[in-house]
Amino acid sequence: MPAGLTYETVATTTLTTTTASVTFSTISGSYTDLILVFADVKLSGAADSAINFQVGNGSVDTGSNYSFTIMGARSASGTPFSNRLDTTTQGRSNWYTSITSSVAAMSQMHFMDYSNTTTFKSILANSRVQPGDANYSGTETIVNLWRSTSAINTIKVYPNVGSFTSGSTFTLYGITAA
Amino acid sequence: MAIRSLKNGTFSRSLLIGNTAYDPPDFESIATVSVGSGGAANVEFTSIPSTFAHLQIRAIIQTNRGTYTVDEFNLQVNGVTSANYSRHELLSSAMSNDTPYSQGSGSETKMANIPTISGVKANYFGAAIIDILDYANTNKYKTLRYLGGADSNGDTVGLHNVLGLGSGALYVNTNAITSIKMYPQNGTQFNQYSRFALYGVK
Repeated sequence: MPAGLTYETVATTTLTTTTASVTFSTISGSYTDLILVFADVKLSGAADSAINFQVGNGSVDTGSNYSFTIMGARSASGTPFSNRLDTTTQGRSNWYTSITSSVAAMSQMHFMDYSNTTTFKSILANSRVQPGDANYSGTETIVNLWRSTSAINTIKVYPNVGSFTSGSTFTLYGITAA
Repeated sequence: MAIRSLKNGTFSRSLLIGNTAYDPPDFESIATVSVGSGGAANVEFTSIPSTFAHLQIRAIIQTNRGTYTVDEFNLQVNGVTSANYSRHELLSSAMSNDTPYSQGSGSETKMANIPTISGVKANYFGAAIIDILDYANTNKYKTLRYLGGADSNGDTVGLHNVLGLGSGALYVNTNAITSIKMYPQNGTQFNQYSRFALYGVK
């Protein structure tokens, strides 16, 4: 019998009502990496929004301990973009593209070596906002940094403005290295 | 061993009828290298089995490059060190409101050149996810794709490649990939706590 799966579902949430944020807490430290997958994530209560995240140990860190560098392209623009934001209070799964009530995010966020207590934490995000509105749709790649050596056992995701709609699905996977 | 009950026809892959059948995972850990206190000039996975469809490397990386925060690391396969790779990347610098740029060519000595970070800033590590597709197929040239980079919270000293999306290919032969070697571009070693994990995908 196997000792444990290498790639397994830790938790999954499909919203049944409009929700301001989604939090995964008491995450086991037994994995090597975590992957958070967004499926059909849409917005309510605002015209458009980026998607933020915060992480922490016990409770999420709300201090200015995040930074990120992004690269991507938006459907409306013929020029790809690159930018960064330093010393900020949240990380991003997308920034220049936006979700709306009809345009959904389909993203993967990789929390690398999330439970170690030695290094700052890097979170790679690969985000796709579905076609439907050229002003908001597109693709982005982001490398986030959380400047803490604490293990991550709590992840909170939330739109910059507004709330997630019912039907938005968030699934957290754990990957275990040999 | 598969077992079928003669009494009720229940099929099970376990030796105990009624138990949940064992379903072999499609994503398996093959090997992991965690760099120790002495550092490592390179990290190499050898004797890679040909039983999977694809490979994935997931890594956190820091090199010992001095002065500059940014560095890169390179990837070669099967001991090929000559200019028999093709490689192209889309890269971002850490400059605000910049435009991504590309690099690479059809004659490279590395299959991938992936942005990462040095130990100039303590505790900062880069991250990379590398997919090598159909690595054991002997009827085609091998190709990979990667996503990798590091954020240094605004350090712009000598800054260039910090985030990249890339692809690479080996054109010298169609041999199955049995070894993968990674090493720093500018530093002389990977620092302690760097970790490289190889997975097989079925």
